[in-house]
Amino acid sequence: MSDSKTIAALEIGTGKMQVFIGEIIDGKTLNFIGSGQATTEGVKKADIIDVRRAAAQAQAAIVMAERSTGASIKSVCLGISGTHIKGFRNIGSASVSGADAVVREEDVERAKDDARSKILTEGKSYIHRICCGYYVDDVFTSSPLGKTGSRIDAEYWMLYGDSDKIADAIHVVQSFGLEVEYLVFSALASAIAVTNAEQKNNGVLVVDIGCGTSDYVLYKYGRPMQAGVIPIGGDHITNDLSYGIRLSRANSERIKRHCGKATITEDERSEKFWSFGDKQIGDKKISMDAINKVIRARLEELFLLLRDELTDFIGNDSIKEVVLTGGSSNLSGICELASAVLGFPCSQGKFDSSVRPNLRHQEFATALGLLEYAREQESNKQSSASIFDTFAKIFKR
Amino acid sequence: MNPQSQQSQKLKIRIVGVGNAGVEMLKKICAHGPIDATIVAVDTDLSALSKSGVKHALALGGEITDNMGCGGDPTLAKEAALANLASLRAVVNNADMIVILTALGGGTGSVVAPILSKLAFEGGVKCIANFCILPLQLEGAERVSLADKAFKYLHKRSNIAISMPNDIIMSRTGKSLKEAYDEANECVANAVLAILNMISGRGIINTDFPTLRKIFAAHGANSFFASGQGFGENAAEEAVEKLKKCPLLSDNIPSAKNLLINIVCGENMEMNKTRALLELAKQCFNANGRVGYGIEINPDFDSKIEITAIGTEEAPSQLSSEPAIQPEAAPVRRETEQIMSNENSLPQAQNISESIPQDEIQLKPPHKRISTKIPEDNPVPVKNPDEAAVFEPLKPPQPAPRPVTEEEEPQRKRRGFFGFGRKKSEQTQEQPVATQSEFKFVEKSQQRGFFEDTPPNIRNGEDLDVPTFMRRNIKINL
Repeated sequence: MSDSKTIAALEIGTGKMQVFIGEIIDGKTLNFIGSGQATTEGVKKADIIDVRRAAAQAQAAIVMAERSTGASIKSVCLGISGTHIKGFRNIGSASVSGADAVVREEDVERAKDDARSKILTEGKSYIHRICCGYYVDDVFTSSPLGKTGSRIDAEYWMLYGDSDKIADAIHVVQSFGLEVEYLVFSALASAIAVTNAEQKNNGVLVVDIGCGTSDYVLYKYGRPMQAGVIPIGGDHITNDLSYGIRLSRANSERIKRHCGKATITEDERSEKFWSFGDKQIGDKKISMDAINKVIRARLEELFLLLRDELTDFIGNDSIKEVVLTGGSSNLSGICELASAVLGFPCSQGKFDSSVRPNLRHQEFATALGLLEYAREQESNKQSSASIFDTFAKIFKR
Repeated sequence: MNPQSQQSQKLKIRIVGVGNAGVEMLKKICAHGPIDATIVAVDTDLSALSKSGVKHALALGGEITDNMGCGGDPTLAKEAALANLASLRAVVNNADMIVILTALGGGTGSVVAPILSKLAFEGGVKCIANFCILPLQLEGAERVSLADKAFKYLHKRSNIAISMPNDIIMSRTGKSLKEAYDEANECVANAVLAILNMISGRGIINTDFPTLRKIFAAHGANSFFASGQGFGENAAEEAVEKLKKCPLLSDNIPSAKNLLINIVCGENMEMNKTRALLELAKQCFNANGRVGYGIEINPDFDSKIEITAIGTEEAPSQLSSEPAIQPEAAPVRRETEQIMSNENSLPQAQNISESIPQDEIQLKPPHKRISTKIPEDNPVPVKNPDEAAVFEPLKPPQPAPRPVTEEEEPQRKRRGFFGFGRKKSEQTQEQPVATQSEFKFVEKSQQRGFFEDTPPNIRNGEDLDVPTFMRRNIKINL
């Protein structure tokens, strides 16, 4: 008999609350069955500043999603982001215990435990402790078992955030009686949705440029090597524009979406258009050049900050390409700019062919990735559970 | 010990005297006996510090000034301050309230006090109070203008910023020079002690630190301070009269937005008298916002009553160091502000006013007056950009009198003088003014716009919420 589970993916974004409901069958198949969306007001720079409002809006999105499917949700896969999220590299080591100097499972576990056991300062909690790979006598390997050497090191990327902020996000879900089953850093989820195994193996930097922040994750050898948050997002571009071209926030947002370009040609530079278009009092002509200067300055800063964060991986052929996703990656010319600043070929995220065409939007990358993440975890559970079941049956006999 | 004084001991209040005069003021405060605050003296002159007898002293400069003071040279003082920036930061760090005392116009005071205010502001000190003595006009335009600029800079970064023009304090006394200076210092000392007393918890009715914070929540609001004393039978009336005539108000009783009143009286003070006194004081400042008051009993006072008022002014008006604005100026500004909404709409607005003859009479003459008045009334040649920020939207949109090209450059340099670390973003603040042609919907001090209610987003010493093009000084031509 097939085992099916309904799970909701919730992304508490700065721009919107996005809920996708999926049905996971036998941990193998993922069926998208419904969605819900609500505007967000209690969130700025991906940090929840008003828990009550955020909770109300998240609930609205979940109720909308439930109604669209008729399914009732018990657990949630929650995507988390925010300016408070930071990461550091930690290496744990263990000496190889066997007399034959062959690395065994227990040696690896000891090295892993050593790396994972690093204690954070008060008020901080881990979100993910990601194993990036191993070193056997300082030689990198992704599968150390069976290799010979005297010492094994496990390299971890420790992603952590403020305990309070994480608790706030979980509280948003719990406040209407649901449980957070998985807590996932949103860039990891986005990367799952917009890259394939080959890209992850060759080295890909996924940057999810959202409304409030830009979250990134770097994959190499199929594993996440580094992840973090650059506290700049689409809202910053809008805010800059409202200063630069002196229009209200709503108008700046409209202009960003319709006329914003990260890179422009010489001909476009002299182009002008009306700010409101109604030619009433206050309407004025704005040059494309002015808009481009503002947007470009901000995005260049974003990519430069990103480059500074990834110094370990730049210049040594680790990264083969950059994939941009998130709502702000729809800005025209952003890939060209990213490619110019970072020095890698850059493209927008591409979704798997199994994703419905109407869901193939960069804004949905995180929510789609969350569902896929949940499926992967369920699949892991199932495989371990099935082994256990077999054993249980054997013993019963 | 009652619980409140325990609480106030927990409060970390630091009183910092900056420069020679600041140290003198500290001495005056110390002379009044022990207080619940840490006293820190900061100076570039080591000998003055060692003579002061203040326990915590920070000498700036070292080799830069040879420990001999900076001789009134602000550049040297800035160099000295920047060399000891970490120590200065330590002075303001982790304090709940910081009171900075200084005399502006000299080297150390004019430079270090703004820097301290900025550090405190950035360090999140809950209440920053600045008491500054401004130089005498006869000390020369250079000192006066330096003092003005310094005050305007620190004014924006403090919750309470009170300037005491030496001219006013001294003009009223026929005393010797030393006595007059002493009196000015004493005046500051009294003001500080009055505030400390209010939150010390020694009184019958106490105003506590949160009240003080609430009343002075905003940075950069114009604040005022006044005190008065009365004796004998009509002590209350006399005290209020004296309060009104307090030299520190420059004969210009402000309309208070928020007000804190402290009364010190003898043991025999009657309740109804106290109430009447508070009412009188409230009326006197026309207070309509938050009013906090404290009453303290001093057994030595007998029939003497001392009343202290400190508050923020209703509308941003000119700083007390400058000649008071003529009362009719305010409504005129409001008129011009409406017109200001769009340059193109100015002729229209005037057309409308021409069709209504009465309006024309009211509108036009003040227009002329304002456009010519500001340069005339201000003897100081260089206007501070901060002040421009306050008044900019209120001026009529006449391109000619606005000295953009000639004065903008030197202003920027001067603005950058007190700034350090984030100089670029400070400079770029000027840009919107220089290229102003549309709606003015952002205050220069709130460059973070949409993000203003969120914590700063600091990376590599820059606040990422401030537009990049402003920080990078990129000029946007519309």
